Amino acid sequence: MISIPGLFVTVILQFLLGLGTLGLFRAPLRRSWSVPLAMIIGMYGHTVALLLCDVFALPINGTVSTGALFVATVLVHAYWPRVRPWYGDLVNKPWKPTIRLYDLPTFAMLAYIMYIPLWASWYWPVTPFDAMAGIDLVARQTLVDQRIDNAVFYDPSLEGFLSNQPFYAPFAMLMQVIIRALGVQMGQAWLGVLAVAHVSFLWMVLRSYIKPFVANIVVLLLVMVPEVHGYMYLLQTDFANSVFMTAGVVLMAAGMQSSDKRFLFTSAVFFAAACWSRSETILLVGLGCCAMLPLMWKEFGRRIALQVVAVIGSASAASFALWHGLYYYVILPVKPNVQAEVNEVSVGVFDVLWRLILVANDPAIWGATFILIPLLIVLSFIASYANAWPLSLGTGRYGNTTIAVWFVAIALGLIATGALFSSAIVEQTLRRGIFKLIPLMYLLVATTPLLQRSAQALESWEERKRR
Amino acid sequence: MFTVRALFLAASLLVGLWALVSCEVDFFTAKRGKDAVLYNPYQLWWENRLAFYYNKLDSFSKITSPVKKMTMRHAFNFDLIRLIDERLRVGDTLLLPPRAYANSYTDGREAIWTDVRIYRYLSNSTTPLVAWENVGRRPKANIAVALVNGEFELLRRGDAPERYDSLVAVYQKASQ
Repeated sequence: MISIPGLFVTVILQFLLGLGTLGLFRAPLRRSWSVPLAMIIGMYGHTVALLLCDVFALPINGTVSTGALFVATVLVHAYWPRVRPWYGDLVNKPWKPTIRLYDLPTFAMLAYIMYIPLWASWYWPVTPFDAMAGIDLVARQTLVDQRIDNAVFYDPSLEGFLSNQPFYAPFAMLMQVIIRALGVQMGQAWLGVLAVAHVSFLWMVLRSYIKPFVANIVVLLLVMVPEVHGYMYLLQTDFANSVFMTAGVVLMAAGMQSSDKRFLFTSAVFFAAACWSRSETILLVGLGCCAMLPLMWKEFGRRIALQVVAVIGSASAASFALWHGLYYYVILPVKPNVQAEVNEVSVGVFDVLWRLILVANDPAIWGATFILIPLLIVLSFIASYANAWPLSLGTGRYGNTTIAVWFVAIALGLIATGALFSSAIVEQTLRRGIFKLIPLMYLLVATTPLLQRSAQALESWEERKRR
Repeated sequence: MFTVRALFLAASLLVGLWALVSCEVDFFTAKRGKDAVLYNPYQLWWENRLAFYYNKLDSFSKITSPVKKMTMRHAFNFDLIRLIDERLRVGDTLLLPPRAYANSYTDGREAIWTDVRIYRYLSNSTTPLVAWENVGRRPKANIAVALVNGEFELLRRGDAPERYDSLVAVYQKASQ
């Protein structure tokens, strides 16, 4: 029996938890960014609170889940003098609607496209093999046994045959527990909500990077990437992971653009959440931070750059260690055989790269992404060179460099993951790993001088200004 | 907001989008096996995902039974597990066949029900199971599934030891 009030209260509390978390860092976020980001990070906070309940031997059920969420929400607001000014800013910001006529069809199309993930994640049962063999198998049994270390891990029928699926980073599994505990049959309804928050966030980010008409085209192309759209309602860890990573990178880019370190510290929570949603992300975050260090050093000086890297590194490591350290080695009765999954590094880095290129070269799953975006970027470089345009437009100094640096770091990290772990199969695991690159590619292309100049020219024409 | 030029841009956005998702002119080439296939991925996506769901939304929404939804989504993998589970008795320990054996009866679709985790998930029962690959526990199994032309038969070792053993031999052959 679905608890509609319970569902409503959970969503509201997750949202408030997210707002409180963002408020603690005091980053001067746009209101249009704060709302979806709060929803996204509130889910992360709720799952951490639920795991801690299990660590402290509380029974896992709907009441404890909602109670933990309530306590977490109160806790992040406990230091009210710190959070209050941020709320004040959020509420008191002047309301300046910048709606254009072409925003209406864009909104209608986005709503039309996004209704399907929302409906399907509510309606359909869990389908992907990995989710049935791990995420949801553990989640469903958790509610029966009221423990996360439940019969799945003790069942003699499954002994030695669990593989790595039940040990996946816990975000998706815990969200299944939370939503199933509210009586939602299929559990994965949260995925549609996350997808809507993600798309609305990216739309608003794009509108801050480039003039609205082009931003609208870019966001529509982004949601129409067939594979990503599919995983907005198919339960897996990758889409959620991409949502957290993208938010982290965008916040870091905003920090670099505005020279405001508060954005960088806020990004640490999103990177920690990314590590909470897929295990190998700790490697990608490490690579990204190392690559960003020289830029941050240049922009903020040595002390702050090192502080930021330390905060992101420790938040991500804590998030990783809570599950992979504390939970694996102290609580879970069985452990995955990590050693058996590690390849020798010499096993085909170039082979992984080549297979990844082949996977990327499939328009049936990525649409025009891997053809159109590289083409636009190359054309933009040529046009910039020919006209002596600066490369950083839209996101200001270092803004798009940050996105480009993270894109390269994530791509290298994916290749390293494919070479290091035998379970990271290029055509499956890394294919979904590309989800992290897709939003960055569309964000990056929106900051290219070619698109920026074209968008400006279009806007001038629309407003009948003389160029 | 409402200028003729803005209206033109809004219309061009819609026309562009409509052209992208409905145009059957093939934009891309992809290698499928030996052949190069031309297609417009956006049109395929629109047809197979959005248009398909919007066309069926009413009829799908009338289906509220979780069992029916599971059957729609997991087809024979769910149905077979449900039918097998209904016929099991207390004390039965089911030997799951190797995937290769089950696949030969599924018209090319993957028989994931033979995976012990998937069986556990889709059956939602606590039936004792033995994965085919679990050689050490195989002697504990006392019932196995024989698949014949779209039907199945449960063979109990105690009732028909020779047929059970010959079925295990067929499993063995299929798994090699």
